[in-house]
Amino acid sequence: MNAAVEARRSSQEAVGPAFTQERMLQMRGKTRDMVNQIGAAVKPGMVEEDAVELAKDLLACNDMLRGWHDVVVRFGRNTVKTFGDPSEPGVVLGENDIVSVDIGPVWEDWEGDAGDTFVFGNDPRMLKCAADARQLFHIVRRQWQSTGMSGKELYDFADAETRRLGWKLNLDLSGHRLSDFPHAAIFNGSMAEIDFKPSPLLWILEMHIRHPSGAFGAFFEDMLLDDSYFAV
Amino acid sequence: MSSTLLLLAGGVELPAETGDTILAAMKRADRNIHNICGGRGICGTCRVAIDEAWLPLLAPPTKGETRLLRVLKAGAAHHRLACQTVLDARHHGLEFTPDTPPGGSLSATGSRP
Repeated sequence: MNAAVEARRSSQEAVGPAFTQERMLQMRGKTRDMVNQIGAAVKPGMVEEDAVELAKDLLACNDMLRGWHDVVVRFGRNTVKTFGDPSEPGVVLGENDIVSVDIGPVWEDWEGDAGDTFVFGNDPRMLKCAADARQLFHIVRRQWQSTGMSGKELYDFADAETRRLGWKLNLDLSGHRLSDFPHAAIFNGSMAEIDFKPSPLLWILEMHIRHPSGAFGAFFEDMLLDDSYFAV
Repeated sequence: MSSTLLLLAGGVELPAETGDTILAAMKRADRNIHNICGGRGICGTCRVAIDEAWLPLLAPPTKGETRLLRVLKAGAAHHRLACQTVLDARHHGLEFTPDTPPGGSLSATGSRP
């Protein structure tokens, strides 16, 4: 690695004074647990806006409402929308439908970020989309683990793998830093723009894939860590 | 049509316009105030302590602001989020103090692990 790249790496992978591996992993677990609680609480017949409020109430009950990004729960056709785009209002969850959840809470000094997709009913395309988002995360994560690929190379690889599986990858959601709060004071860019191999514990790997027709999508994200942190 | 107000931010005069949020007025004047989430009422870093005499003249906080203020550490009844507090003509002279909640360094002072 040349000196300029090493300097960028050192700057973009800095952490704050409260950063510890133990606390970041604890926050990772708490955040994933909240995503699963939100997914379990959402039911067919619910309006998307009510699900967002329910998610915020659940986070508040667990002292995790404060966030570095907003709480996102999307139903059905809104699952194709990228982060920050407003949802079409009033979408009701059907019996055969798809839900994506993306939260970025702050608990005490530490940031979390987790996302997942939940399918209701038995639509095989939706079930495959949700499963493939998770699978893509692990395909790309293992590529990271076994090679020296940079963040940009990893997302180029992710894009090709997504197309191979028959989906479209949303490259507006292409990974980012996580740290003790706030990582935005350190580096607010994406993983896909870095020209070095991202280090474990410091980055979130995001996969937002869409059906080619644009009818629905699926999202999965977690911390960039090696196999020993995953039951796969 | 907006009109000019004068606020007192930590004892220092701060010009503002009706329709501004407190955060917008602070940013326009290049005053130091945190707003990690960009003023969307998510992170709580723009919390301010309102002089209690002025509280009745502010619009009540929304459900979302109330819920976040409740979970911020060491909060008090006179705290509001600067990004959610909209100013009108009644607020000429309003006094407040920036009061970022504890938790989070708000700066990058460490090195890579």
